[in-house]
Amino acid sequence: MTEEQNRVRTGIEASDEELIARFQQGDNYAFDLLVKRYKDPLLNFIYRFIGEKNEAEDIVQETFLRLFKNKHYYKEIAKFSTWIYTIAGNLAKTELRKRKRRKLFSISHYLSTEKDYDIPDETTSPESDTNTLITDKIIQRAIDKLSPKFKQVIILRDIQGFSYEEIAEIVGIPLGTVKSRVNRARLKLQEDLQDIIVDTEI
Amino acid sequence: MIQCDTVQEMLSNYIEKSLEPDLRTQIQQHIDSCPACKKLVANVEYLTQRFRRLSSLSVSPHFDQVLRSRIMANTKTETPRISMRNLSYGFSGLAIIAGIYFISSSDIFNSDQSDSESAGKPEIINTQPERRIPVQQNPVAVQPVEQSKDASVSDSLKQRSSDVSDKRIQLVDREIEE
Repeated sequence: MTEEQNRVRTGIEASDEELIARFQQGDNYAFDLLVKRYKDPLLNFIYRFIGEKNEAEDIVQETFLRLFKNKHYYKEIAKFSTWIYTIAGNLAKTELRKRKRRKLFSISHYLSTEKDYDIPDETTSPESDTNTLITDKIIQRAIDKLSPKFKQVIILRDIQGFSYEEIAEIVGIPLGTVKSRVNRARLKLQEDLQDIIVDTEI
Repeated sequence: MIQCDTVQEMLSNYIEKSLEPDLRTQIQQHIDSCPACKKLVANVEYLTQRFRRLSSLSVSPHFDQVLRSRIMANTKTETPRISMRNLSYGFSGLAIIAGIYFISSSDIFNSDQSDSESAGKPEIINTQPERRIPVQQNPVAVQPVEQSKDASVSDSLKQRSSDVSDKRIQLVDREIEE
C-alpha cells in the first residue's frame, strides 16, 4: 500500500467535518481520529480554565463520551471544532460552579485561599526551565482569578488562538461582547501580572 | 482629543490593527505622548505573546484506554433502554399485524366454508363449523403472533447486542492497526 493510499485509508488528511460525518455513519475509526486530534488541545483549554490537570482530563473524557453518545446532534452548519469546544467549555463551567458550591461549605476554604496548581510536567524545549514554569504558574493564577466569562474568552483567544467569530459561536454570545470581554480580560491580566512583565521586560 | 480611557477601550483593536485609519492615527498620537498608555500597550502586547508560549500539557498515557472503558460501560447501560423502546415499537407493530391476520384468516375460513357448502355436504358443515370456528381460529390467529413476538424481541436484542459488540471490536482493532 502506498503512503498516499494509507493516508486516505486512515483519514489523516480528512477534515474534522468529514470525520464526524463518517462517525455519524457508524465508522468508529473516525471517532478515534477526532479523539487523537482534539484530546491535547481540549486538555489545555480545560486545564487553563479550571487549573487542575486530573480534573481537566476527566472533563476531556466526558466531552468525548458525550460526542460518542450524541454524535447525531452535530449538524454540518457548525464547525466541528466550535461544537466540541462548546461541549467542553460548558462542562468546565459546570465544574467551576460545583467547586464554588463546595468552597462555600468547605472549612479549608476559610483557613487558606492559597491553591496548588499543577505545573505542566512536560518540558517541550530547553527554554522550559524552572523560571518558565514558575512564570507559567503565576500566569495560571492570574487567569484563575478572572471570572469564568472572562476566563473562557481570554483562553480561547490568547492561548488557543481562536478568531473572535469562532469564540462568539463557542460561547454563544454576540461578537461585540466577545471583543469587549477579551479587552477587559487583557487589561485585568496586565494589572495582575505586573511582576512578570517587569522581571522580563525591563 | 483622545483620552487614556479611549485607548484602554480600543486597546485590543489597536494591537490587532483592526481600527479605522483615522482613529488609529489619533490613538497612535496619544500613545506617543502618554508614557502610561505606551507602557500599557507594550505590556499587553508582551502578555498576549507570552500566553501563546505557555507550556502545553498532554493527556496521560492511559487516556485512550480509560475513554474506551467508559464508552463501553456507557453503551452497556444504554442497551436495555434502547431495547425497551424497540420492544414497544415491536408490540404495536405486532398488534396491527395480528389484527389484520385475524380478519383475513376469518375471511379465508368463511370462504372455505362456502366452498365446502358448494361441494355438497351441508349436514356436516351446518353442525360442526360453528363449534370449530373459535377452536380453529385461535391457534391459527394467535399462536403465530405469540411466536413472532418472542422472535422479534429476541431478534431485536440480538441485533442490538451484535451492533454494540461490532462497535467495540472496531474501536479496538482499528486502534491496534493504527
